[in-house]
Amino acid sequence: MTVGNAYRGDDGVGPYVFTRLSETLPGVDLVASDGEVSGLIAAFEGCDELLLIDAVDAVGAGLCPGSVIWLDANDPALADVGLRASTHAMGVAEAIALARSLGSLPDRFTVIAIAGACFGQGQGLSADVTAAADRVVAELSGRYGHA
Amino acid sequence: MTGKDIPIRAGLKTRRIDVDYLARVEGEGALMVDVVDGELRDVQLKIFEPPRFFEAFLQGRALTEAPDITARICGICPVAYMMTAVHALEAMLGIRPDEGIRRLRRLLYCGEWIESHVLHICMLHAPDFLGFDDAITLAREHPDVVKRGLRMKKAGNDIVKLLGGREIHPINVRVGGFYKIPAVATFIALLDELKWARDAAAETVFWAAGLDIPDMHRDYEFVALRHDSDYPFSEGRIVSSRGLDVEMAQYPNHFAEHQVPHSNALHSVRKPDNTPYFVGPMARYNLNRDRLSSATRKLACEVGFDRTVDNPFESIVVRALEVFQAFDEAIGLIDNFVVPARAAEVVPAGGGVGMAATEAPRGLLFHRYEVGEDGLITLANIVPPTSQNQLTIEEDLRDLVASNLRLSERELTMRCEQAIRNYDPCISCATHFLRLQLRHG
Repeated sequence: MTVGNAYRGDDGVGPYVFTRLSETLPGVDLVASDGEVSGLIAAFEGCDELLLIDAVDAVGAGLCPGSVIWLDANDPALADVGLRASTHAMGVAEAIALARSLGSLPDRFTVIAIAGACFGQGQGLSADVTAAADRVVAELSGRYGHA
Repeated sequence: MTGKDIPIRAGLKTRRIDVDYLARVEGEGALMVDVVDGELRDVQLKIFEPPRFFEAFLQGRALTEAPDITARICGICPVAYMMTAVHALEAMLGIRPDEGIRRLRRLLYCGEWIESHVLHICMLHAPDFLGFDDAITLAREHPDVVKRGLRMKKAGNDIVKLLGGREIHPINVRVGGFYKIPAVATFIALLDELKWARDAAAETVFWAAGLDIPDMHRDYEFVALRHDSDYPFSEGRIVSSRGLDVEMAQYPNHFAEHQVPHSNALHSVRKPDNTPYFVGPMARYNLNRDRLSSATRKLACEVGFDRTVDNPFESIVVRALEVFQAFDEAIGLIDNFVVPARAAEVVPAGGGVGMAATEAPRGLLFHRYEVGEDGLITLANIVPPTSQNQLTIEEDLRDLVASNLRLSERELTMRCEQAIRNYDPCISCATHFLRLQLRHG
């Protein structure tokens, strides 16, 4: 599952990876999401294994742009993510927390977070993020290409 | 939330509660309540989210761009914004789309009401009634409520996605109609899930009616659209529970906006006496119960709601009834699908003044445009429902605090937040959020 908006700079890394994996992993179920919570939770249902690729704000996360973090969504350390104040701002973290409360997280659920720097209006990824996305695509293609 | 005692002068002390973020509303604001010597002095719903200048963005843009620009005012109710712009401009240009387009527009409204209402009922408001901090903790104890809500919301999303091109900020709406009409088969494919969702909505009505609902009654002036035959979305006259009955274009003659120092959103009042009024699901319901489908009226009777509702805490039940109504109507519209003659009417050249009001999920939404002969917008005025309800929310809080001073700070604060959420306020729309500050002297 990829999450993101191709029209908001580095937030487009999800859609970019989706396009690339569509070419390299034709036999794997791929889902592109805009991050809407009910759609995300519906997509979590019934999955044995899920990999979710999304951008993360490098500054907010204290990472260098282009860094890639692999997180286990079932890790209790990620458990207590409160709903943000406004439903306008609900996203992947809230969907994972809600799905955990509902007992509907996939048993194997990895979040691949790619740190971006530019989330303004417009298309196109920054160079560091493109390189990071290509590394993720290569890794996943190698891992699941012959599944 | 923090609480502390602050001495203000000999013999008196001020107790102050600060809630940095009133959660589970859309946007950013604060509430301040002043109680001095055991008496309520002042209540201010403070909206500090900066102005968003959408009306200024519209100036100099082509009238055909208005739907897509106004859709960006809100991620929860974009359909209402874009459709109000469409209706205002079509009224100005004399465009009258056919019955097929009219019905598809009603279907799109059904989708948006479902998305917005279900989110509010199950994720934002239900935790207040059941004593949880948020939907995540609610989900641990009542997973069925949350799962049912999420699935119903997704059914609403699917309508908006099909007809609008995507769930949020639809892109398929234009002045004159739609850019493209999806194939009939794609609508029929939604029917099974919509029928499940209509049953789920009925369960939600019974569930909501069984909640422990605080008792509070006030004499409101309810304001909503009223249509000749249908439950109101975007057609009809503006009516009120105190006898107002006017064409949409008469709105500016009967309602005014005032700036107040403590809010970046304008306060709306009724002319001529500057009195508060009430828009939203309860207003629609009270003024249009006879326009509900027979199935919705029957359901309302079963839960004891075949009556005027003047307790704002009962809005959660009314919202649930509107969700049922929306699923019921959506199913009817698809079962009896009318294929439009064309995707959109031709938009003629010209300008003038166009006005329209529609029923956003949170209530009456009014747009007024002035357009030059070159088709460029010279002036735009947008009055969102939350602006119109601000004064009424403050009045509710005055009554609530005055009659509940015996409650602990924590209980009173929670009750105030719950009362604000009765209106599902969208502060982002109104400017566009909430920090609670309760001061006792």
